[in-house]
Amino acid sequence: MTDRVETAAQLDTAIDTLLRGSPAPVAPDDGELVATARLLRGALPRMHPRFGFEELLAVRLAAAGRAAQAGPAAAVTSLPEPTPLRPPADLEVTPAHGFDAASRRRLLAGGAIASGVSLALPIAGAALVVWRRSRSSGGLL
Amino acid sequence: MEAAKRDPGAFEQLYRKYVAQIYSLALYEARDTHAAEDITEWVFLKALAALPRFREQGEGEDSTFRVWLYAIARNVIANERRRERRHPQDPLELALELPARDDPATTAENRVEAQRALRAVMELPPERRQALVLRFVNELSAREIGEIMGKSEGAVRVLIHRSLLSVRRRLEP
Repeated sequence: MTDRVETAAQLDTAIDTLLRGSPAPVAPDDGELVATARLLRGALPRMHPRFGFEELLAVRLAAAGRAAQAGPAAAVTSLPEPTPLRPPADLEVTPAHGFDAASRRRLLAGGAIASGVSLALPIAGAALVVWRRSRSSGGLL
Repeated sequence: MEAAKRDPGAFEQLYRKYVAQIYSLALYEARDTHAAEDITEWVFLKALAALPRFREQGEGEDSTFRVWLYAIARNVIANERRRERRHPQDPLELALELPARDDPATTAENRVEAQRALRAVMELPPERRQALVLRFVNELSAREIGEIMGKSEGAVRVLIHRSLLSVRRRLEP
């Protein structure tokens, strides 16, 4: 039990070193696991959402914040659930691969793990409804 | 953080800082870009709504906001999983595609190996997969992961150790 905990702690230290970008992490007893960790470091990139989605959600959050500040009177609480909105076509862009300077990580835009199933997410709440109404009545706020 | 509580407009800074991290976690869990976007949206709207109740317990690098945000994300993902079980859709066809890296040092052989590793991670049980994603993609510490998953730091280290063992076994010829 103690050995397992110590081995896990050593491995964790090696992973810390790897994540800091050091090419030569301190190897615990099980060097093969460190090699696996090194492989995962490269195989599991951080993904970045599409630019259009990120900007649209920023607008939604701003609208939600304003609605929250305005108080419950400004919020609409009972509307049917709409299907999730997708960014409008004119916002659909595919940025080049980026780099997250803060975390020293490569960012992959738009995501790369795909399946054929899309989840339907319920509406987020009254603030989102406010945003949708404003959008339908006059564009993007 | 306090500014964001007083002025929801200031929340955008937090959103910009963490959106890729939350989206990444969602994408690795949902394996679908649209589902990941929906989860990301839900997480930030929930966080914005709950922000007045958030109590900061650290400063600077030790801010507890990130852990709090990831805990919300984990709940949203769990809810989505439960919803999917109640309303099963077509079986997920795991289609993993790692874009070709621009790095010329990344050889085709490396890419194949990375693909295999990614697939091995995605085949892990949810808890193990999530621990590896939080550690390697989001670069959270074992302590932070423990706070998110409701485990001790030591338990998370052991979980990651076991998860890596599982990945290594899956990679063996």
